[in-house]
Parts: sequence; structure tokens; C-alpha cells
Amino acid sequence: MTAPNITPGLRPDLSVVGRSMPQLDNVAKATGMAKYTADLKISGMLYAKVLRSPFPHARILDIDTSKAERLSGVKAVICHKNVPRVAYNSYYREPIDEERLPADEYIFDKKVRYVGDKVAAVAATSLDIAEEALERIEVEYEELPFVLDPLEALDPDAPRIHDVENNLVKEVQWDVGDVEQGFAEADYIFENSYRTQMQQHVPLEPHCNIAQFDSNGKLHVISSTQGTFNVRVLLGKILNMPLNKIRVTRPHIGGGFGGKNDLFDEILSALLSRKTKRPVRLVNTREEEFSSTRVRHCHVIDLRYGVKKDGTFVAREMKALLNTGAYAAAGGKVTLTTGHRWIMLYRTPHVRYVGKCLYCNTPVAAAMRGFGTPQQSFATESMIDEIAHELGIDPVEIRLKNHRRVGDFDPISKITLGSVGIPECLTKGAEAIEWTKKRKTRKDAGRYRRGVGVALGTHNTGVKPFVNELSSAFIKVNEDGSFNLLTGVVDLGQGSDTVLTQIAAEVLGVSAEDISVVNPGDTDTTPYDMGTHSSRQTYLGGMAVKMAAEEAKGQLLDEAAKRLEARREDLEMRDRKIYVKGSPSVNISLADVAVGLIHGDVTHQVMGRGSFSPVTNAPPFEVHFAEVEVDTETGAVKVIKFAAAHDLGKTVNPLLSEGQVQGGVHMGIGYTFWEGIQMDPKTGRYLNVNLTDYKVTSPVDMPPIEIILVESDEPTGPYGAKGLGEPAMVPTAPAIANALYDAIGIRFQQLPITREKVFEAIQKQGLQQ
Amino acid sequence: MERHRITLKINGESHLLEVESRETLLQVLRDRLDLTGAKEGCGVGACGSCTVLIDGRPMNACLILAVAVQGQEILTIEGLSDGDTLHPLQKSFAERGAIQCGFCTPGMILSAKGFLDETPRPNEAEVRHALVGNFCRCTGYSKIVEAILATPEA
Repeated sequence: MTAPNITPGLRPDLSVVGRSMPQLDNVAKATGMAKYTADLKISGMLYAKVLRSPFPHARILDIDTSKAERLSGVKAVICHKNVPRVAYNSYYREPIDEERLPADEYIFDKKVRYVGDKVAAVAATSLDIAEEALERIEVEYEELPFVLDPLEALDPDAPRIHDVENNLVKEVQWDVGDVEQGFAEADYIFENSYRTQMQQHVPLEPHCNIAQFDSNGKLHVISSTQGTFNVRVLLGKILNMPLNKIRVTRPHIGGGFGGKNDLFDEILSALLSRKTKRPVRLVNTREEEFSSTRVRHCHVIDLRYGVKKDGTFVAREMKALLNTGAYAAAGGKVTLTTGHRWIMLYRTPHVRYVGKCLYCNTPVAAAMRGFGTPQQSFATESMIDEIAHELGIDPVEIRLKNHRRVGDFDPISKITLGSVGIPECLTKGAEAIEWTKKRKTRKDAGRYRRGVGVALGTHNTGVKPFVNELSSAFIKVNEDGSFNLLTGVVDLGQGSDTVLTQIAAEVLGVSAEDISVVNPGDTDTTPYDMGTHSSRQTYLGGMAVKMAAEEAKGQLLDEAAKRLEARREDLEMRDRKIYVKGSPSVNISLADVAVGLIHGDVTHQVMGRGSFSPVTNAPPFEVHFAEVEVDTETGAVKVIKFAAAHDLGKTVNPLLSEGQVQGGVHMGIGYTFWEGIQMDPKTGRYLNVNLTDYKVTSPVDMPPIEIILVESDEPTGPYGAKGLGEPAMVPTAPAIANALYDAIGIRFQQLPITREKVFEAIQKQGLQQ
Repeated sequence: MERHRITLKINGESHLLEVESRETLLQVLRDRLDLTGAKEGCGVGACGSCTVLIDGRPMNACLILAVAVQGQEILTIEGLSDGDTLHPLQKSFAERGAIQCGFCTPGMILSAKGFLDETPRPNEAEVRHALVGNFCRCTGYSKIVEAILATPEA
């Protein structure tokens, strides 16, 4: 294994934090012992299937489930006629969301709004019988005109999908300074338009859940979900049940990427289970994964930039339209972040953002890795590249000139930036890709043309201050000096269990093996966490765990001080012992202290509690460099080398940090070239909702990736850490698009940049270099 | 639906089963034998998460009818380690961060084993080609390829 490139490599004194170690449950995964939701069988379990709309927009005039109910083996059928009519938003977390997020969803509505929208659900003794039952449900639809594009949805004459004018879910406008004055002061003005496509998360494990009621009427839901507490609170709201009567847990999860944040069909399983008095399991097919879970918002972005001759940004304006699909879900929030991250990244005295979130009769868009930032970055980093080229300024230099610095105030979130590793990301990434040398290489010869491109990005670590948030943890000591860690944080496979264990182990002076994370995310037994999203868990989950470990440590030191007849300030904890500083022969083992506290004369259960309420946000920063080779005869583009420099504050586990970057670049390459759900404009139906026709990046398409982890030491994060998971794919597409321009002199303003588009552009425009 | 009595040899053990004509090997493994290591990711043989070895060859269990593989040696991930001793591929994957969510892992490891048994000292390009039938959404393949190249047989 090559050693990771970490700069400057903070805190070599740390024993566990900062060390590469594989995820703690890797052996279980490698032996097939790890259980995912669809692997679980419960005695008496029924199988659920969902009937889904074949039309993009239609009224349900009538629905008759009687034939399905009569089929032997069918135990319950639900539709809008026999379920509560409660309006909700599947992204809801807290009371203030009543104002922020439109409650436009029902368990089943009398109208369907996209192909794949739910119409009815069946629970039967086998999957085959459940599928047969769906065929016997008779639905009378009245088809309605539909709209698939946000530009059309905005038209006053467009079909109305919900009871809102112009299908407008939310409009956000932010002004900093006076943008028209800024344009008047600019030496040059640039304008361009960009479009991005409907990428899907494609977690390898489809959404699935199991619901069952116990004999006391308590509901237990097992779900492949990123946010157990969110599922719980929404189930409580819709079913009108108190939260102590609902338990949500999760076994191993096969990836999420933001697509498993919301409440999904857990509500259907719960209702079927309540009706049948049996456990009910519901597993999505891959087609349902594509059509009926979540997708990334498609953005239509118009940009206008005003700059000085020397490349200084004077004025920036963005108009963004977002296709949020048939229901709002988190759309309003993505509209906010699209504008906010863009405003935050570069110093500019005059800025205007107008973002509009629109309904269309398409799959529901919500959180997907980057939450609006990858879309926005494709547009804005392409624009900056164009400006740099026009002015004859190096694209790395123009970013070095204009980016935000430590101590800068972000006018939208009103936070002050505590750590900004952008210069190191730009310069070290440039070195890794051999930027200067490769840009000088002659390009105007031969069938194969090469080029290099760069893009800068940011995102967030958690959601403060736009949303309040909490992460919490308990640590208890066992009588042999080992520890159990109870955290609400859900591990999707990214490794939060391992990272949080490392943080606790560092504080307590033990090794990772001495701490067991127990049932993380179990809403009955672990304290609240808001969910695994927004790249928040190392920072927020980590701070909560650090606080809990420090409290437990304090209690152990107090006891050791009595036993050693020393002062607490003179003690230190390491290697499972507590020592007197300077006199290491005077020590007591943790086991001794622990057993004494549990079984001695004066007993006490050592329990550390951590509850982290952030006051600020610590944005991560990232720079991607791509080198491409274009076959000008076919339009085929190969990424031949990639460098990814990430300011993540501090890496807690370099092996896992690298894994995030590699996975992010993989997803970003797919976003650039071949991913996207395609629809037939005549029917609103999907053309490629399977894993053969929806193209994902194969191992052969992946370039070697050099990774640089920049440690800018965030003052508010645990050991200086901040987020990484989403930044890993924020600047990938624009870096590649900019490299394409460098290679063949053609700009692509729409994603995906398919081989056909490249070929046609070369044919039409000729090679410009 | 016609039912057949068949004997399947899985991980060295014989199983006498009564199956329908249309039952796939994946369904038999997961629903009848509790061997849930092989996963259903797509149902159409595109993702490889159901990969098992049939007479040493990696195949998608979701595309194979159980009745068609009588008399053949079927190896699933549960049969790969030797008691408590991990197969070198399992060890390599686990230690090198070639696993994140783990859903692709059983299929990926078995594909790798089938490939390495045929091509004991591959180069990187050959490894990458061998994995095109196994989809991974988490890792970007980098550490999976490293783990395979670092395995002693490679």
C-alpha cells in the first residue's frame, strides 16, 4: 500500500486518531456474515409489493382491490380508501419543517404524479402471490397532461401538479451588494447557460424495510435508512403514535449516498403489519429504486460574471431552476444550498442568486451526494475556466486570486471561516497532475489529444446554521475496563462506526478493540442523532463521542486519584492504565478502577454523555484535477490521470478518507459521462431504469487517482476534522469538462458529456486547438 | 407449477431439495438455505452481487435455474474460508479497505477467486477487466484492485 499524501500531517503524537485502519466489521462483510435488511427473516413474515402508476400524471377515479383481496395467500391490501389521510413531507425532521417543507405527500393520494408513484400495497404469504395480487387490483385512471422539464413547468399554462401556481415550490433570492453596480464596474462580462441531468444514487442494496408490532402494540421497524430518528418521528406523526412506542433500527446498509434519508415505504409496511398482525417485509426492485425512491435534482443554470482585467471577480449572478420532481421533499433546501455554497466560495463584492424549485411529473429529487453543489459547480467552475482562458490567466491562478480566506465572513450563513486549505489543495494538486508542464504541451496534432483541467469546490460539514442540529453519544465502562459506545449515528458503509471508535479510543487512551459500538442508530437505546448526511458525522458525531469519552475519562480519573492518592491533574490515561505523570511506576489499570467502581464499597456506573450542538459550520474545500485523452475520430474520452486534493481539516483515518475520495471520483466520472435517467417525452416513462442501460463507471474506466489530504486544522472539529463524503464528487465533472476544453478547445455546457456529443461537436465545430 | 427433487452440492455439502422449475439458484440459496451472502442487487445479472462459483467459474446466481446446476460444485462466500481461517482474498480485502458498505463484497471476492484461479499472476489491466461484471458504488474499485494484486496467489 502506498502511504497517503497528508499535508502537513498534524499531530503525529496521536495514537489512534490519524491512523489508517480497516473498518471494524470488514471480516463480517468478507465472510457473508453481515446481515442486510433483505437477509432477515422473521417467523410469520409476510411479503409486501407496491402497485405503481404507469402514468406520469393522472387522477384515480376509482380503485377496486376486492379481487386481489380474494386471492389465496393475500392477507391485506391498502389504498387511499383505507389508510389515514395525513399530509406530510418525507424529509421532515422537526416542527419548524412544517413551515419550511411543503407537506404535499400522502400515504396514497387520489392522484398520481409520476410514473412509479404509489397507488396501493399488498401483503401476502409469498412474493409471487403479492405480485399476482397487484395484477388483480383494478384502477380507473383519468390521464392528465404532464410536464417533464422545469422550464416548461414554470409556464403559467403548464399542467398544475399540485395546488401551486407555476408549479413553484420555493423561490430563493439573495443579494449581496448591488449586482448591477458591480457589472457596471466590471471590465468584462461573461454569460452562459448550463444543464445537468437526473443522476440516481444507485446504492447496490435497494431500499427495504421490515415492520412488526409486538404484543404491547409497539412498532418496530428495521430499515435500510440513513436516519432512524427521522423515520421514527415521521411514523409517529402519520400514525399518531408516541415516539416511545416506535423503535427504528438498522442492520448493515448497502450504501445510501443521500437516497435513504427520507421516509419511504416503511409507512406501508407498518400499516400492512398493523392490519395483518404479522411482520411485513418490503424490498424494492431495481426498477423501483430508479423510479420511486429519489434522484438528483436537474439544474438549469444561467450565469453572468463581471470581472476586472486582472481576473478579480466584481459581480456574479446566478439564476437556477431546479426540477424537484413530483413531490417537494428536500427540494427547497437544495435550492438554498445551490446558492449558498456558490456565494460562499469566492470573494465577490456584488452577488445575486435567484433559485426556483419546480414540480415536474418526474421522479422525486432530494438529497444526493453534494445536495446541489455538484450541479452548481459544473456550471460555475466551467464559467471560471472560460474567464481564465479569455483573459489569458492560469485557471489555478485565477482561483488563488479570488477564493475565500480564513477569517472571511460568509454573508449568507453569517459564519466566519475557521479553516481554509484551498491554496494547498490548488498547489499540491497542480504538482501531482504536472499542471504547468502538461498545459504547455502542444495539442494541435494527431488523432489523440490530451488536456488538463481544474475545478475548486466546497460544501458543508453538517447543516448549521440553516438548520439546528444535534448529535449525541453515551459511553459506559464495563467491569473489565472495556467500553460500550452508544451513538445515534448510522454507518452506511462509509465507516463512521470505525472513526467514532478511534476518537473515543484516543481520548480514553485505549485501542479501538477495547471499544464496541453497540446497535448504532437504535432509536430505543441510543441518544438522538439527526441522520447520516451533509458529511456531518466525523465532525458532529465525532464531537459528541469525544465529549462523552472525556466525561467518562473524568470519572475514571477521579476514582484513580482516590486509589493512587494523587491529584487528578497529575494523572494521565494511556495503554489501558492510569499513570501519575512523571512517575509511571505509580499506576492502576483501567480494569482495576472499573471493577472497583462496579463491585467495591462505593459503587458508581461510569457513564460519559456527549451532546454536541454546533454553533458554526466548517466548510470543507476540495480541488480536482483531471487529465483526459480524446480520440478525435470517435469522440471517446478517457480520463488518464486524476488528482484530488481535499481539505478535510484532519484525517481521522487516512485509509477510509482515501476510500471516500476514490468512491466520489468514481461517481463524479459517471456524472460527467454516462449517468442519468432518460425518459420518453411522449409517455413520461423511463427508458433505462436497469443496471444494463443506466451506465455506471466500470473499473476499466477509472483513472489512477493521486490523493492529497490537506489538514487545515479546523478549530471547532474533533482533532481538527471536518467533512469529506460529499466534497469527494463536487468538482469532478467541471475538472473533466475543463480538461476537455484544454484538449480540443470545445466547451460542453450540459451533462452528461456523452461520446456522441463529443463526436458531433468535433464534427460541427472542428478542433479548436 | 411443476416441482422437482434435486440435489445441489453447495460448499461441499449435499442438499436434497424440492424446487419449482422457475426457482433461481439465488432464490434457493437465500430463501431455502439461509445462505444470504449472495445478494440481489438487480435481478437481471447486471450487477454481479449474486456471483457464486460454479465448478470454479464466476456466475450470476440470479440467472441460473436451480434445476440446471445439479451435479456441479457450487461455492458461495460462506464456503470460502477454511473454518476460522480466512481465504487470502478475504484477508486482503478486509485489511486493505477494499470494503465499504460490503454489499458487493461476497460477489466481488468470488469473481476475484475465479479469475485468479485461471490467471494466477495478472497485471492491473487484467484485474480491472475481470471485474467489469461486479458493480461497486462505494469504493471506486481502487482498493479492490490493490487487494487482488496483493493477494499471495497473484
